[in-house]
Amino acid sequence: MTALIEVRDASVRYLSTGQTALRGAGLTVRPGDLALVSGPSGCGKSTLLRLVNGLIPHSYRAEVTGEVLVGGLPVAGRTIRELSTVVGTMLQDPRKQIVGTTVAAEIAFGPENLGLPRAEIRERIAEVAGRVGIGHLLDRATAGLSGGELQMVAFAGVLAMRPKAVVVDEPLANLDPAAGLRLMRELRRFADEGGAVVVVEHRVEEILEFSPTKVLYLEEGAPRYQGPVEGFLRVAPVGHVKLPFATLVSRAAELPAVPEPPERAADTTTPRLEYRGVSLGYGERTVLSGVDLALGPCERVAVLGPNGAGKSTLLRAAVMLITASRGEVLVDGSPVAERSVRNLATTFGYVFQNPGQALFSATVGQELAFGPRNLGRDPEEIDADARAALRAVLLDDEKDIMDRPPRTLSFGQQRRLTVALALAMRPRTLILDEPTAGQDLRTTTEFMGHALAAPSVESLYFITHDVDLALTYADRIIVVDQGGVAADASPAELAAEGALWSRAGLAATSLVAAVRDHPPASGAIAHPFDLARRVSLLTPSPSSPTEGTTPS
Amino acid sequence: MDVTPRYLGAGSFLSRRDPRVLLLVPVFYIVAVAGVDDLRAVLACTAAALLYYRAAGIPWRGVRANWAFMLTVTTVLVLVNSVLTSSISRGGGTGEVLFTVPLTHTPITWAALSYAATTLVRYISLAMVSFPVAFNIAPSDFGVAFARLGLSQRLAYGVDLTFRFLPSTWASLHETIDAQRIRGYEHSRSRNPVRRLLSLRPVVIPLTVNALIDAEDTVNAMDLRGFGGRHRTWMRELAFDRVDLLVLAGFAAMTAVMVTAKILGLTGTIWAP
Amino acid sequence: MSTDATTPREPVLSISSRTVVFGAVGAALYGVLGLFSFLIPGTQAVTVRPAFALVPFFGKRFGVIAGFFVGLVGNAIIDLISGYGLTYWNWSVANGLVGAFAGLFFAYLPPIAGEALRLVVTALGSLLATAIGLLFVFTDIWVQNIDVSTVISINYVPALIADAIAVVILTPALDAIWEPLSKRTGR
Ligand SMILES: Nc1ncnc2c1ncn2[C@@H]1O[C@H](COP(=O)(O)OP(=O)(O)OP(=O)(O)O)[C@@H](O)[C@H]1O
Ligand SMILES: Nc1ncnc2c1ncn2[C@@H]1O[C@H](COP(=O)(O)OP(=O)(O)OP(=O)(O)O)[C@@H](O)[C@H]1O
Ligand SMILES: [Mg+2]
Ligand SMILES: [Mg+2]
Repeated sequence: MTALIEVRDASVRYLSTGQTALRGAGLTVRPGDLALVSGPSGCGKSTLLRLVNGLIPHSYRAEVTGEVLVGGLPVAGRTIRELSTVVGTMLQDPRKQIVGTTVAAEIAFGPENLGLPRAEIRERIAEVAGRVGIGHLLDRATAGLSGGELQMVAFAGVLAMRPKAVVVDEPLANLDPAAGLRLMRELRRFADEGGAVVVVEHRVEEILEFSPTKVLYLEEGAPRYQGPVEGFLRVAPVGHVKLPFATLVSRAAELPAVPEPPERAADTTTPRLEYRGVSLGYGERTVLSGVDLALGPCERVAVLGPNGAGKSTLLRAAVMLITASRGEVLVDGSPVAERSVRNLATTFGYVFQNPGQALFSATVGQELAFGPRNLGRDPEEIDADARAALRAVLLDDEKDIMDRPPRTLSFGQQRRLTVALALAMRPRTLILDEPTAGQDLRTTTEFMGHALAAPSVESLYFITHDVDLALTYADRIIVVDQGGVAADASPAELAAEGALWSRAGLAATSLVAAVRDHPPASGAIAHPFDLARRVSLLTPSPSSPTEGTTPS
Repeated sequence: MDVTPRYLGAGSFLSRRDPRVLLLVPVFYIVAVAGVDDLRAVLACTAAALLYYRAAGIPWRGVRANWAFMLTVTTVLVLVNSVLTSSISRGGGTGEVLFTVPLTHTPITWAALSYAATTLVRYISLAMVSFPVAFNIAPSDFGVAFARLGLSQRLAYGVDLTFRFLPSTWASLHETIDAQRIRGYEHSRSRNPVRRLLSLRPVVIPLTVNALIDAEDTVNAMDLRGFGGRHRTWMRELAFDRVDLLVLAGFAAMTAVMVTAKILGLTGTIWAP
Repeated sequence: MSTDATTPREPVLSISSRTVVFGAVGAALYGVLGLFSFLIPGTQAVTVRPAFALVPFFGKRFGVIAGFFVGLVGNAIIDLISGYGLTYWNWSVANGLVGAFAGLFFAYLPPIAGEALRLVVTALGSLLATAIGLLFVFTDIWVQNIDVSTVISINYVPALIADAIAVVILTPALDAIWEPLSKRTGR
């Protein structure tokens, strides 16, 4: 069968910066294929997709060498419009690519642009909506949809163009595991019905469940591995890609040593943050009700739950960004309402989901000084704190960091900078809202390591969709679902609770299964690498690396 | 104030009209009442405007704040414009002086009052025909309405996109303010306008820059779905029905009468009882 | 827009999807932020609308059409939301013209390397665009039926002063932040 997408020895250099983003990459995708493209941040994954859908060279000014064929014809000779009927593209964040005010208008957008007759457009909307199961949403405004729903709507909008292939850029980054599974199932079905799919994703393990036909692993723009999954699991760099637990076990000898997590003081005093019968909501709508919860001053707490369950809402109450409509929120034993903004700012360092939200200064130095100056600290103290904070997030050896405009840092660096901004206020508790979405494993590991090791920080509360991250870094996990706290337990206890994982927008990863099968002696569970080493000693003949990749 | 588009008049007589009608009527009306100084003529037009506004079925609760704001500002404006300034001299010289304004010593005559009333009524009636544009057109109908009125297809879609971006911009404004509040930011209450403007930078700058960075993805997404061809279907089909044409014809006739009267010089003088 | 020697400048009046999206983003921003305005102490009714700074900024960065769109649609939305309706449609046009003039003015200005000079030129250029564009409010002579001296004394001059404050302070600040980013995200 002829290839739908064929990239041969392609190199790309962006003219705006003169940077080479891709060096000699290749990819062949046939009908029925599901190809996975992975690699560290900035390795050129998105650039590869732009080559395939024609944004390069048609929209971006870039120098391209090599060959890019779509449907057997070179991309360079065709317009993006022509290509869009062959290759459909889903960008990373559905919020940014949805252009319609209503769901129906959004799905119609592509066919409208093609100038199709109205009857045909209506027919396509009905067909596509039925197919991905969003028929009930057609009249809803897109502004009011949850993250998972938006992703499905975006997918429907792409399918309405009837493409032969779809390319998807990090579809799982903002989704809860259950919604991610739903989307991947649809993509798998698209491939099974004769389409071709290219998925770019950091969360490799989740994709492996859907048996991709091939894997392309890029590093600094160059292909480092290309071929079937089995081979990839044998050679993938362990510290950089999140691999299935079985693979970790079989490659236990290569796993790097894990630094001991810093010791925590025992939790005996008054809780740092306490909810007593709290209801929270927006306007008429109550999101959470009857929440009773106490988070200790020296705890590491992960908050899990489906999109839109109210995880962010719950922790926003801690810093009074939302006030309880009923009940009471206490901070260190006294009501949060009695505290000043300043007092709260030094108790909690709150880092929002989107790092850009707070960056406005011309330089990193001024940005770091903004918060402490609002607190009325004196300049020398501010400067010393700023430098310490940068050191804590490993940004201090970046050249001229203090004078760089913050938004010119890479996305990962911006994220770390926002943590530094919080640290510079010397908070005792750090609250992170989805700290690692869309980041590769190595960045995640570094990031969490630094957040935990920061000297002034006694406790860490974080919201995440990444189950493994919660298991690895928290000593207590709270699941928010259906308007309240659905579960509150240690990672080991939670892993053992089988029923929970099929509910609450969660999905059991191979690490969950491993923790369940090999429960720790004490409450805290070992780092996955340590656990894998231990398990590999228990079972002398390591299981095959592909085990655990079958859909569960 | 909420900036998300509010489709308050859903289901009313005007909401069932072709959105182009709702866009054209204010245009006719503006032409009709511009330059008319005769209170009786403006009142006649206002009757039509009132009827039109009633047909919009906009619930009073939803627009109470808007009307209060509009009336306050307009009243102040009219007072300033027609009582305290020289425009009063226009026909105000004749007639019996009722009283003089303290401080400015402007003489107030019946003609002056009539002139002020004309201006006020004109603004209020203009607001009445404009409110349905804001509250009776479904947000997703603006683009197609402008396109079918002859605007460039792409710019017409830009109007749709603006409505798509309004709620999300509003939401990120709040998130940005929240993010800065956590860093101890408080908006300056200083009376120095420069200082107050500077204190807005932590909000305005990240909001704008984020919107621009996100927009880059939106541009890509639109290109990738074939936006920008010469021909574009609008899924929403617009066609004037008989009632639409009647409403338009009514306002067109009113405008024609008013313009004729203006040309003949019938409405150019201030009416005094 | 950031252009370099390797590509021909886009025609000043072209409408690409970039123009449309950035116009719409700008109009929405102006619509939202434009609701916040405050009185200048000591004057009677002059309000500073800080968001006005966005209009010349979008004109400068994204071209004549986008600038015009931001001013026109953004101001029309502010008027519609707050309750003025379409009464002051000519002010919306004036706002649009400010954006358009800023676009035109900076399109023919060679790029400036020096940071400080660029700030000053941005401020002055935006101010000039504001002064010229707002001349359109003289149509109030017919629209509001008032005479020339009234238009100057209670409309044009106060509006110019208020907008000038916003433009001179905020437009260069925005532009300076966007400068390094335009190179990175630009195409
Ligand atoms: N428009 C652009 N102009 C100039 N350089 C760019 C542009 N887009 C990306 N680059 C650079 O090209 C390289 C590859 O970027 P790309 O976005 O393809 O990485 P990626 O693998 O998708 O990363 P991530 O996982 O963070 O999304 C990076 O160094 C990036 O800075
Ligand atoms: N400012 C707001 N105004 C109105 N409703 C809101 C607001 N913020 C959130 N909501 C709604 O409250 C619910 C809970 O939102 P929240 O952001 O807490 O969810 P979440 O669990 O953090 O979801 P996600 O995983 O997608 O981040 C959602 O249905 C959301 O639509
Ligand atoms: Mg990418
Ligand atoms: Mg959230």
